Amino acid sequence: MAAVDISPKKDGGVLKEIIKEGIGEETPAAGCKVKVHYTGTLMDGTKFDSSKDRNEPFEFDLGKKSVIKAWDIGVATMKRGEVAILTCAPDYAYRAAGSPPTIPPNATLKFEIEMIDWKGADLSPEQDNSIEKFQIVTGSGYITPNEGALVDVHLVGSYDGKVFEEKDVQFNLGEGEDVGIIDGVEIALRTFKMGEKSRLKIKSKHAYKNIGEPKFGIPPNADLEYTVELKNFEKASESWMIPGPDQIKQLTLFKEKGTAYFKEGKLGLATKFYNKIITAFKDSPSSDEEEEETEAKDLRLSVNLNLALCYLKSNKSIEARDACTEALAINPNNEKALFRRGQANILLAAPELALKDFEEVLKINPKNTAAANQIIACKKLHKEQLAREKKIYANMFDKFALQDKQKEEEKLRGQPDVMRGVLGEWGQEERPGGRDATAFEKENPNILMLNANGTGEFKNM
Amino acid sequence: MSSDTVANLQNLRDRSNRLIDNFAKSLSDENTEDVLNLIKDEEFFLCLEDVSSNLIPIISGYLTENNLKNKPQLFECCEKLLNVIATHYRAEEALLDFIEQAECPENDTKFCAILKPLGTILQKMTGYRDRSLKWCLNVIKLHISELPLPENYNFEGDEVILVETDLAVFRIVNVYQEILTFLTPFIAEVSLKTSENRNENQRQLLLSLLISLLGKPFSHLEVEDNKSKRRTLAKEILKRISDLTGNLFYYFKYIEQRMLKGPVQSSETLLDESKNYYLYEDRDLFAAEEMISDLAYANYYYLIIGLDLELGSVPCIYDPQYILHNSLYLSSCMLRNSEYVLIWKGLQLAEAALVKVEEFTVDKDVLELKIYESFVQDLSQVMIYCDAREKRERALKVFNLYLNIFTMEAKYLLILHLYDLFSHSGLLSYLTTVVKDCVVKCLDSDPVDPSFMGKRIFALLMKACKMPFATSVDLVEISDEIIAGLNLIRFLVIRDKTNVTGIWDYTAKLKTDFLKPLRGALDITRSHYELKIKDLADQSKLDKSQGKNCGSKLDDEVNVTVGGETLPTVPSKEKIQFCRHAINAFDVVESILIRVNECIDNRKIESQ
Repeated sequence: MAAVDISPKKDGGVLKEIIKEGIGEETPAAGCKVKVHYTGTLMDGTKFDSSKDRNEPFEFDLGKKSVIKAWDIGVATMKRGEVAILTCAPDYAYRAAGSPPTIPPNATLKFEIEMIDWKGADLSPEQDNSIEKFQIVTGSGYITPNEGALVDVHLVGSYDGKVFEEKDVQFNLGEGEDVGIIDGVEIALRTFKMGEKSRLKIKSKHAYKNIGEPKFGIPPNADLEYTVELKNFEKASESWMIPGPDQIKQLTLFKEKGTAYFKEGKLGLATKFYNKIITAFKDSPSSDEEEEETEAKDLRLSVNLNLALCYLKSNKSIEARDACTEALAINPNNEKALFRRGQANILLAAPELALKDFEEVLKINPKNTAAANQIIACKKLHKEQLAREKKIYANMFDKFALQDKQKEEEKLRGQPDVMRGVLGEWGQEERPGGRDATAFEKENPNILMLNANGTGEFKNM
Repeated sequence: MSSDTVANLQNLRDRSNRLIDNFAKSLSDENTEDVLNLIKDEEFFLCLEDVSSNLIPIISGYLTENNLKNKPQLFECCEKLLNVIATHYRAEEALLDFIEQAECPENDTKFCAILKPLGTILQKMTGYRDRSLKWCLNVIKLHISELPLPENYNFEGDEVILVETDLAVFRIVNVYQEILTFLTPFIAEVSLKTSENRNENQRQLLLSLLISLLGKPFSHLEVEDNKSKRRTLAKEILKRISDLTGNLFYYFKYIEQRMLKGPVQSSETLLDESKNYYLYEDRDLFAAEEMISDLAYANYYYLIIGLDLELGSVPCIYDPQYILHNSLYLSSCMLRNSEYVLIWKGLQLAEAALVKVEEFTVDKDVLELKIYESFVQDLSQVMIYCDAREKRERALKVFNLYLNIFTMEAKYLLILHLYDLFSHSGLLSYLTTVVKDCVVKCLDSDPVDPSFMGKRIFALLMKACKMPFATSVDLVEISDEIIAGLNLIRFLVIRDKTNVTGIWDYTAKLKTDFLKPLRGALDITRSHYELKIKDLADQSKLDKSQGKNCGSKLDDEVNVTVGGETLPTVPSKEKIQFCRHAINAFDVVESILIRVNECIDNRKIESQ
């Protein structure tokens, strides 16, 4: 049989030649545990490696990028019992680096592979095949949802060949029971990658057990089949967020999670998730694509608005005002942002600022009665405030002046009057020329007038 | 019961007691001849069943190091005696008695001596050995876990031979050799090379033990010295592992599980796991941290990948990137320790895994894996804080290798993130020079690679050139960082006349956000230091005239205490010198700053 190019790009990277036909039609799906025997040779015929020499078949998980590319592509096309030769170009094997000591740089490799058997991925904790997974669409990336991560899935459940349920559902992994997700699906979802779609065979003990589910007409002890697609999930390593459509998808999920917490009244958690989004945007440079840019803007706007609401409810008026200002920087004519900033300003006892905000709201939407009412309230508040201020400040200066004077006198009284005794006497005796005290000096015994009568009293001074 | 049998029983008991007494007496008299005669006696075999569980502890008591050295005859006699008992006594009971004796963490001599009869008993138990073997292996694990670790020396070059002088090393090597001898027959039974009908359970048990043997304390031994016993031992262990498995890299799948397992786990799942642990005990031979520690796996892969031991028998199918993320995880586990030998091994493992990966091939999607962040974090700790120069330098080399495996796109994201991750000024300045090299590479490629252009280069510049806390910061501490940042700008404005990178769109912003505040900060700090020098000089003159030799009362005296000892105060002369250095640094900063401003302004003039 002639060699066939099976590389997805059709660049001749992986050529397959079947030596012995396999049995049946089935080939292993990604995620299966595959068992093969193989012998690898270089193009000059040197054998570099063989599982037969080691007396043990080689086992690996298909499609996990654990083996060289050519294998993930080639082995996936093999049937049970099939023997084939894969010729792998360097780009699908060890490239320019080679794999010392056995494989030289830029080597094309030949593998004779015998497919012995494979098993579907068994996900059950008991390892008894009670949850089996068969991938339909391989997901992207490396990571899978953690416990507690928000997941966005589409699932179709069928029993006895008949579909009993089909829905889109969003829940925190581990809390699936609340939205009617059986634990078998939850266990399986922990192994899903982004965008993965798989068929699951679930035994009753991980489904509706010996009780069944009358709502769907499922009897006790029924084994079920599901097709589950993981559309999106909250990734644990947010710090590596890569700008682009994926990031926005991911951040949207944070927002949804935040909103869910908000609805439950968990304001702290909601704030946390909203803030995650804000920091993520702060760190990453804006995207070059216009479409993404607007999407990102919308998201940032709504997150800031929600954040403002959270802060308002938890009486953090300053933060609320700042979030609104932030939102207005994105869209200066946002009604909600203006309205909420108005509210924050009222709480911050700045009715005149609030008034401006509410007036802006009315400019944008004259029908906003709430804003109109707020304006009245603001004006009233402002008036009250003015009145109060008036009261406080009325006669302020008189009062202060009085107070000051009293204080000064108090101080003076407290101090010993140095002038009285000594200067007084000195005044008497030392008055130049021994002249009599002037009328002024009499009135003020502490003061000594110099040159009081225009005679040359200064001469000697 | 007839009076006859009662009498018989009584008789037997008397005889047994007499026998035990005889043994005890002869042993305490060190009369080995008598002892050996006793076991030749027919009577001994008659009572064997009754006396053994009493005799085992008595005899074992003589298995001391002192006896081994000074009374070899007695010791040998006891060993012989125990072996006779092991051969003839009922295996199940003997096993338990011997295991009890083997639990002696302080006494290696006794432990090693008991291994022999244990081996004899296990070999008798063909066909139903699994559980018993497991018990024995647990005793072995317990014993090695109690062995002391070698001293944490920082050996350089030839000094390595001094490792031999450490008593702990000697003990570890000895005990390990005995353990290997003990295991040899059981390994041979299930080896892939020799047998067809294998007991799978036994094979897996032995594999799990052998790998776990490579953990503490063996992981703390240096094994690079080709002629050392340690190295031979390491080779032996690996050789045996490869006799038992066709795929030495098979265990990466457990590493991957550990790597992917998020750091946060709800208490509920933890409970579940512990509940299941006993149920699926066997399956967890390789997965559970209690069975094989991270350090054991790390040392295992270090020996294979880092030192090339048995690398030839590894399947040549694995993807280098797959090997890389697992190796990085293991390397991180080692780098996080304070022992030099572990840091060194961690660096070598990472390096060996990195060179297998071709440069510029790792794409950004692997950055999702947390390990790519935590590894750099651990590595940077070594680069900055490790007090052994050799290790620091090697760490820097590894860091460069690490950066080079990524595609430009991935490298950009990585570097952007590293600016937030690192806080050490020297490291940040290094990062800025890396950015410069990347820009050169991008500009040189045809067509120009957009990874480091436009908004992106600006985002990097914002991180590379930032003035923390406006102008009030002490410039000396961050001068490295600033010089690197200025150099980057200077490079860009000189090299990129045609605005390919887009730098000229951002010069105005750079001026207001960085260059201007920097000028202000420079003036303030410089005058501060000049004043300080003047003060110090005055003070030292004053001190001299008053006959004092060092120290000054002028500035606030600060005592620095290290390890309970107060360091002497810095003499004025050195303080002045330090200030001069600082001013020198300012001069450098200033000269580049002027040049940068000049370059930017020139262009404005030209374009007008």
